[in-house]
Amino acid sequence: MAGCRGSAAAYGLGALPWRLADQIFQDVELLWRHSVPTLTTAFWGLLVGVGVVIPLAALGLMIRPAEAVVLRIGVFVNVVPTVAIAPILVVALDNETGRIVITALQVYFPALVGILFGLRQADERALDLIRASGGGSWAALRYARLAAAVPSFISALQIAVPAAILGALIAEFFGAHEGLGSLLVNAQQGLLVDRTWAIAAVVGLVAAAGYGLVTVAAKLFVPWAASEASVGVSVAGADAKKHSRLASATASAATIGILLGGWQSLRTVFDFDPFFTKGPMDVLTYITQGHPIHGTSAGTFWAEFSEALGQTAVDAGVGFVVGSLVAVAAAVILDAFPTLARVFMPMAVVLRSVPLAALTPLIVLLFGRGMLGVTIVVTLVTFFPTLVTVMQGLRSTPKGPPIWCVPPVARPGKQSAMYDSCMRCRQCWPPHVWPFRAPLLGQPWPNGSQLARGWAISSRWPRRRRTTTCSGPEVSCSRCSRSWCTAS
Amino acid sequence: MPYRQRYLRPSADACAARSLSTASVLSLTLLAACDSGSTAAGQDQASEGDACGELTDVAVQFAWHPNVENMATIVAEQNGYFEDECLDVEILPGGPEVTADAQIVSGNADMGILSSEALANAVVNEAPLVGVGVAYQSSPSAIVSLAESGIEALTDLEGRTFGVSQTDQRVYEPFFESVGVDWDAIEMVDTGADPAALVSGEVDAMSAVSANQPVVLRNQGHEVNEIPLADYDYNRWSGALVVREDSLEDPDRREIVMGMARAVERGLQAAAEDPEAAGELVFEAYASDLGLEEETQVEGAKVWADLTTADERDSGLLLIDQTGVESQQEFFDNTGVDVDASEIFDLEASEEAFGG
Repeated sequence: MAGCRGSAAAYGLGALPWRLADQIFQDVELLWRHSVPTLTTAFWGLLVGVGVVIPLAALGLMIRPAEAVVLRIGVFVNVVPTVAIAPILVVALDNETGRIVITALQVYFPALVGILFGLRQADERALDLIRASGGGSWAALRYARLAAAVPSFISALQIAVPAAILGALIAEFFGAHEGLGSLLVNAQQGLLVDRTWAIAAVVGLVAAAGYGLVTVAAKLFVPWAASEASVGVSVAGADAKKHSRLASATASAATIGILLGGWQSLRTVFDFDPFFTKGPMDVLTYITQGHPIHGTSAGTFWAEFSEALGQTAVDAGVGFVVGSLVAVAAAVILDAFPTLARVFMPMAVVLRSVPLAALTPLIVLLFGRGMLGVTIVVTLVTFFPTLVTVMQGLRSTPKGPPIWCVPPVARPGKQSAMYDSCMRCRQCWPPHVWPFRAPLLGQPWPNGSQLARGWAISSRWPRRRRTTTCSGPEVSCSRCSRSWCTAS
Repeated sequence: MPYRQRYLRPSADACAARSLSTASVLSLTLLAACDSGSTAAGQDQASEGDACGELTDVAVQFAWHPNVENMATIVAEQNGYFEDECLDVEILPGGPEVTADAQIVSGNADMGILSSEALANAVVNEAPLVGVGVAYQSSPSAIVSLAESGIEALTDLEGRTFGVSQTDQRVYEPFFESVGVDWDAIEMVDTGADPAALVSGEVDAMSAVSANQPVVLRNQGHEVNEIPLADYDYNRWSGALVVREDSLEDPDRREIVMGMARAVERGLQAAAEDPEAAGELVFEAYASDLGLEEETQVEGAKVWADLTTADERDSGLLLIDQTGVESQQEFFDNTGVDVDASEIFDLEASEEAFGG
């Protein structure tokens, strides 16, 4: 960052550190006044976002088909751009509630993924014990799963808190008299460069403080959560065998039904004007027959759409790959040198939380509007969540040699001879590979935490392979002639 | 969740923030109950002076944060012109992502202030909206460049880079064509409205609003050249008072809209007469809170005042006449907006509000 600032300052548009500090000092009253509404929105958005997710995740765990529905709807809503949903929210709700909901939309997804993943982290032995003692899914949730969920809930919060602050900022772009977001756009338009940077820096610092609070609070209140000993060795998808094909199809149908029904209800139940709310049928007409008013053909739309999609896919793909690689590399390094992590992680949070609205012009100045600039912007977006989840995964890797007991996620319901061969064969697969198997075999792309676990395991792989004497039973693979120690 | 409580505990200020937010959430339910759009029909009409019983709540939606561009409404609000019409006005702030048209259609706002293009595009997409008055009947659009770039005439742009937002590109492409500038010889860069692109040297010139970027740049000590589109008879109106069509049908609601229109007219007259005072008023009321500078507001107010019809009329500054509608039709035809200009403006309502 320091280097970037230096070069940008040459254009007169960057902020040298001392000028930045001076501006923050001068604007302290203004910044404080506008921080209050933004942080208030962020706080309520976080509360709503996480508050909605927890009962849904718990429900999904107890009534299995519900989980698939919740997760699918969660993914779908998450990928619909805020700019598409927000105008309807702003129109439907009053100004402040609208902002809180927009913020919650930025928060709920990392929370949902983190909690769902966490709830499945319960030690199988503990769950067996509860089952054997006559406990149902509620008892399992209460006595085993909630505690097991804490570590990934914390890393979910570490993402969610900065996301809430950023979300509150974005929400103000949809109309607000005050707040850091309003201050930011006005400073930018007024060419008040130092102030733009001061706001960006303050937002980043506040977000870092939020991240720090979560971390410190976790260490104080749930110190065991960070310890590796109590973390189970099962992985997300471990229960997938319980889903039958019928259940899966039912879940898909329910998901589609709820999404389409909810969408249509905006028109039929809430009676929003067709001018700004298009129903499912309107969209279907548009993409099959063309624009009903302008008379442009569907072909025109598809031509423009595919061109734009191609461009976005390239930008997103490159940014995602670069962002993931950089984040994984950084996580491995930071895991190896914890002192470095303590210095670097707050910086990463700051970088993540500096609003892109303020950062993008600088990136454009330095790297242009071409592929390089776009890649850097996308990388910034993907880097932080990947870093946090990979770090968490690395930290939660069990110390002892684990059993690679990953049930065949790709073939739910087939627990025959094929299951057994899958089981054994899996043990021969280098763990580097298995996070990538799921998508290849038709499962949804693993979430960050799943990837993290994969990489977590793979980063410690060589050490385990060198294990020669086992304290517990030894397992060997018939196909690849390797053997492993199992946890005793 | 212990850490959340802790999050709030560290300072007294954080606790203040919490009680503030609790209050605001409580008020949400109240706000939902008294939606700004629910203008009580059958309100006693103001005959003279302060003879109103109860004030009727009305809301005006801006496209951007309150600044001098909307000085007419702000002056009217600050000077109590709305109260004189028995109205209690609330200004709904705009912003980069605000859909002002949807806010009017939905009834959250009784009136919105849009550019004539935004109005036309909304109507093309079947929004039941109509314009009753226009504050700036000269185009505020200009091509701005730093003086050191040496760009003084339109032809100087050939071979240079030109920053333009996507919405403006539709305006500038036919414009360059109509004045005989080779569009293909200019390199377009999508910069949006941020003047930083000009200062950084990323572009040599950019599409601008004469009261915004040039004023800001001058205020920062840059020397700038401006080429106003109005000099080439390119008439892009802004500051149109837009209402729902059905607001004009019901007699009571029509009267409320007329009252709003009259208040804004008084505000615009006051602002055009003394732009400096209007700029200061806007600064005091809103702009200073947003960290804007007084000079840019005052200078901006002067530029906006010049774009009103004040030099040709003594009253009825917002009045839309037939000639004006024709100029908009020409503008829409040029820029490829397929709309009948006489349908998006209600001349009868305009005459009722601002005529005579």
